[in-house]
Amino acid sequence: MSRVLEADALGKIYQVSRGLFRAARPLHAVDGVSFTLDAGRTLAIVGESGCGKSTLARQVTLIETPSSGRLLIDGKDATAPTPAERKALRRAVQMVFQNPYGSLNPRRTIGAALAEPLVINTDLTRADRDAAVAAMLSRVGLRPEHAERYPHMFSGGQRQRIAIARALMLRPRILVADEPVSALDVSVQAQVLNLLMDLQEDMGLAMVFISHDLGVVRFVADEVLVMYLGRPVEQAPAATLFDTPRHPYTRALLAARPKIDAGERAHRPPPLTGELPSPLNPPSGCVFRTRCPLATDRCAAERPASRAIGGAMVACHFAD
Amino acid sequence: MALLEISDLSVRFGPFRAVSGVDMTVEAGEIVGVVGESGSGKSVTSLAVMGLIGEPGKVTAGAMRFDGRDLLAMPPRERRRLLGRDIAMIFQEPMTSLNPSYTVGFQIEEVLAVHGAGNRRQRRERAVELLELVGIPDAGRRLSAYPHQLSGGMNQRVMIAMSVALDPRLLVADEPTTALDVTIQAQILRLLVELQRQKGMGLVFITHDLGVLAEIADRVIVMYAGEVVETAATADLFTTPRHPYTAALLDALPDRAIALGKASGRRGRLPAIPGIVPGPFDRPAGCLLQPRCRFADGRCVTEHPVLHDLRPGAARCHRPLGADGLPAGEIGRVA
Repeated sequence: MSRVLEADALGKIYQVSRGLFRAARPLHAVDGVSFTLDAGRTLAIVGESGCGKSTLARQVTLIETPSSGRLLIDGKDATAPTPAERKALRRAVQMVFQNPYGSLNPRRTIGAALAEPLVINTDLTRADRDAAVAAMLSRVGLRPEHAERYPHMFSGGQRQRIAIARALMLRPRILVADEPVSALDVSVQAQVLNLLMDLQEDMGLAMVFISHDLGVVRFVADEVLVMYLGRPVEQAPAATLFDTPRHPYTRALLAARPKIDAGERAHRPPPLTGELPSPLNPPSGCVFRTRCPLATDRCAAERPASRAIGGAMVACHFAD
Repeated sequence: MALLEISDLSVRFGPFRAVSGVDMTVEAGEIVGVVGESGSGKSVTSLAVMGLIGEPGKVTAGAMRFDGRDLLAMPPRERRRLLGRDIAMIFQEPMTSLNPSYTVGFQIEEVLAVHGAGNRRQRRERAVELLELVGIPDAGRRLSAYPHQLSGGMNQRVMIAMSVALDPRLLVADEPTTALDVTIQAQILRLLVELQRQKGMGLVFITHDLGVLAEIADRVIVMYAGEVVETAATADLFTTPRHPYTAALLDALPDRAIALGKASGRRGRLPAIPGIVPGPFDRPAGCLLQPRCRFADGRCVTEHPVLHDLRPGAARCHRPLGADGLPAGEIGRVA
């Protein structure tokens, strides 16, 4: 198994302007995230809005440059690449976005959208490109003649298939999927998840799967990284995380999910109180402490380091 | 007498029937869940109840009664007065349902003013009470906040405060938690159920999320392509779905599939429903689910099934499923 992605203490700071006469304030969108990912495996990044999961995805896809830390793609340093290096690296990482209605240009045919990465990045002839488009369309469960059509002629699920096809045209090593099924109906969501897993097996893709839906994550992920307000709070193999969640936030996330089984509903902790604090003014020490049932004075004073507990990495003073 | 009683409700937009033949009753103090995918007609049904379907939409119904009063025969003025006072609605997007140019206090007080509740000072006091009721801290100061200064969850609380301002007897909530994070969703669901119990309201909760209904609903109505395909008490629906569509929807939920061993966590595949929900112009003949149904036979292609009363529950299927998840027996084949 080959390691295709390695992140070491990645961070991203935005300077947020507060008007003309006040100094900009730093916003830590991502703070100290480390992980590794092998070919054919899936890392899920989980968290609520503002947790930094999408910023992390944009760093992995080289849309954003990390402010700190190190990113290796296929063993090559992708932290601060030259333009030529960046171009080469971008072939290795591709992305599927959440909203299939917004991510396809309505004025271009599907064929043109799928051929574009080949035009930019390869020397293939037109005929070769057309053949590659037709092959990819059938691979994702559409028909070759769909290349002539425009995005509005497709349903949401079909558009997401097209977006996946486009991402795979350059045979990337890594696919970053940012909430790829959350805009889809349940019955269609299952089809697209199955397709992603088929393609991953065929092509040996490493997948970074970003989602707020723990049910979906449990199904697709090998490893799970839970984030809160830019920081990693728990990292573990999927089975470990769902069997024995250790961080109080992970537990709260799992408990907050609507449950069909009455037995599961019976013994669960009350929902988290309060709202997400502003990322511009995060709590001192542990960022979760303002909503945490276990919080003490120590949590306000001291930021918890990630510790290894039973196969998981947990950033909590009191997890065991 | 039921609080809300609808029979044979249809909504047409030109030749397209967005909703057809929907029956629904809601009792006071009851939570009725309506679940369906996009295009199932669940939102159009609720808009029709509220009288919010505009041209070119056409609403017809055998009966549409609120508290015994005929909503269809009522003069428009009188029906409008009912809205907001006796029947209130909450929408999915709190950010777009509130007016960005006015403070939330103004918008809550406006509801009270329109329905002639109290003088200015009393309305202000009531607005503070309402924000406290929906769990907004520091309510007095929040009255002067604009929607963009509040989070999505807080805005949804404001919407809920507005909707219960005049103690409605029926609350229609259309995907009220879909745009919210899961920990905030849990808070809002808890709040809605508490208010509903406390005030004895009828609540119609529309969602695409079966899990949410398992948590809160007394009864569930499942819609597909504009029709009711199954109704059942919540516990029955989740243990023994009678319609193949309900069963397939449940199976397609990833964590349920894992829990029931229908898909292994790693490297398994989900039992997906093939095909897509039919759109306005490609509805099939016979049963609307038939091209996607694993149990469909020749009769399903030719004959549109009626909603059979199965006691308990009802299903629009020629061969409703039994406890083992397979068709139990054929109903009323005409030779």
